[in-house]
Amino acid sequence: MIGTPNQRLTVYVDDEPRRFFVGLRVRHAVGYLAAWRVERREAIIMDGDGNHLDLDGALYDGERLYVQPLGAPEGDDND
Amino acid sequence: MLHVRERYGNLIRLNYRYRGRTGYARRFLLTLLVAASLLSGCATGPTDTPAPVTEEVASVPPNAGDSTETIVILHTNDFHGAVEPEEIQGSGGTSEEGGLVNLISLIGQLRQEHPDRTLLLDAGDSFQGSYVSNNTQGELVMAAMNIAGYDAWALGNHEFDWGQEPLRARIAQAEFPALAANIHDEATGKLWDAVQPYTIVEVGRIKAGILGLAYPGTPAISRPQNVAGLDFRQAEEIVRRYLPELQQQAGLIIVLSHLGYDGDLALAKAVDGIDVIVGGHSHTFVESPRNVNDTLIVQAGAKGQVIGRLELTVSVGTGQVVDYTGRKVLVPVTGNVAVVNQEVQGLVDAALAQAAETVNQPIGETAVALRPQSAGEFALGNLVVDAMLAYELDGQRADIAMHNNGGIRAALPKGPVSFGQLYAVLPFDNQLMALDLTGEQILRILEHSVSSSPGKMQVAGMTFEFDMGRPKGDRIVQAAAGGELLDAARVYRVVTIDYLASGGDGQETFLEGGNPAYGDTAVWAVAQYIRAHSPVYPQVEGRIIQR
Repeated sequence: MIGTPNQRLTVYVDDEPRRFFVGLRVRHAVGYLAAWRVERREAIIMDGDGNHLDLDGALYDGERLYVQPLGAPEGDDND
Repeated sequence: MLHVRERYGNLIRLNYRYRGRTGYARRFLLTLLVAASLLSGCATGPTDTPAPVTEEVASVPPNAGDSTETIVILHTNDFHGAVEPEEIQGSGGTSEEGGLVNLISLIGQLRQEHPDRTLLLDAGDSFQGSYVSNNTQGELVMAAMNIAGYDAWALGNHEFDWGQEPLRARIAQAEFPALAANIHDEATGKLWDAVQPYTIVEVGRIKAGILGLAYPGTPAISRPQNVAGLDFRQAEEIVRRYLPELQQQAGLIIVLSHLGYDGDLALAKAVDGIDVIVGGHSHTFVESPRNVNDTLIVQAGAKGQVIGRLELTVSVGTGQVVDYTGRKVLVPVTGNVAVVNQEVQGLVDAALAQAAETVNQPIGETAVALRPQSAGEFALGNLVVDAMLAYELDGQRADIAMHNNGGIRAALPKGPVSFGQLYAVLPFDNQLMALDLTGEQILRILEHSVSSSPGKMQVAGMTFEFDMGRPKGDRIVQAAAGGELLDAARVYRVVTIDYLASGGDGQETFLEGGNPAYGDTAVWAVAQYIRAHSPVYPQVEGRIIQR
């Protein structure tokens, strides 16, 4: 639930709890490196229900995020 | 469209808030979606009620005369102005994912299968997110939504990003209802006059009541002036209030929600009688409908990458859902559409050409050449933080501005400056945030900024001196704000970027801040500053001194 602007939320990234401001997004929670890997299609973010998440999705209190590596993309050796 | 992209290149692929993804292995989302579709059919779903009978989407059979009607809900959410498709480089060549033309064309294709038994819904955050869409304050996207023939649209929090008047213009432009049952006028206590709470749509022989819900926390994450005078109420009380009214008029009850996936789950658990929640806000790719308390919850990711397609078999007499699609409810949006919607194509081509022109127009000029620098104070850094300090994020200027050196990436030659050039300087779509921090917390932030190299933070509104010869954590030898020594106990208002406010660069102290408020992107603030102060003449002023 959203309350005062001061309210923080707790998000579990690979089961590690982290506190963030309400209004921040999945990319902030997983951190720069993981977000970069997602953008390169080397990883994906899943929630606790097994849903794939976009990096810019809103965080919610108690959310569980899992950074899952993907295999090296074939035929993409130019990037 | 291709010829437009070829002509204007990447300049028009500027996102304000969302970092553009590389084309690298873009195709793997398609692979992922296919894989997820396959897996979803095998996995045990997180459902609270029995699994659906129907698991595959085939065709919707005609059923006139039957006691049931099979209808299709097509749904989108969080499009975020993703007008241009992502180009995916693969071994088989280049393909496209998403994009406004592809999205609307595919909607037309899907809708054409059962034109009289298809609902088309959008769950908000439609416009903000790319230069070409922001450039028209959503007019382009709304024009395309009108062509697609949406039946209803729920307001998202980002619909308020340009203030209430531009939003009213979009609502007036919409040829379908803008729904937000939980936005009220603070002064009168009545529903905000720009929206309606719900709409009733006849789809085949079914009357669907569609109630719209905005994100209740919108004021906490929006510029205060953009939501001034509005009261965003909690969802549950609103749904309970309207449900009897809706049930009198419609058999099938749909909530079109921008609450986020968790909010949708909570609503479904708390309130009986909702048949379907079509969601948004959390950008969740709900591959299989989640069934909670006999309420189906769906959401179609974000940025037009997929269209949700939920097939329902509904009792004509009661409106009760007797069967539904169990899996494969997300249809990937690719460039392989059967018929391109030429009307939308024309609009997009024109908007891209216009954007390409404006993005290269000078917004002002710099009297000196400016370059980024990885450590220490530099003039371009001062320009950025001066602009941040001048930006009235929550109706007032902050005391101090801070931006990391690493986020300032490109040079500006002496002379005219365009938005496109500025975007190369600040390419990360970082959003401004203001926080309350004590002097002691600011000191810790500064200490961290000199812990591994001689100064990785640009500042305005303050100065500091440091000595790399001293132990880590004790290198700041002097700091002042507003011309006075930094007071460890005093609370200062600090404007920074969301990257740092979320602990980026290891700056965890920002997370201790209070009263967070959100503003525009840093690049937008700097553009405004240059417009207002041109020609700018930033210099190194001795704000940061290494002893």
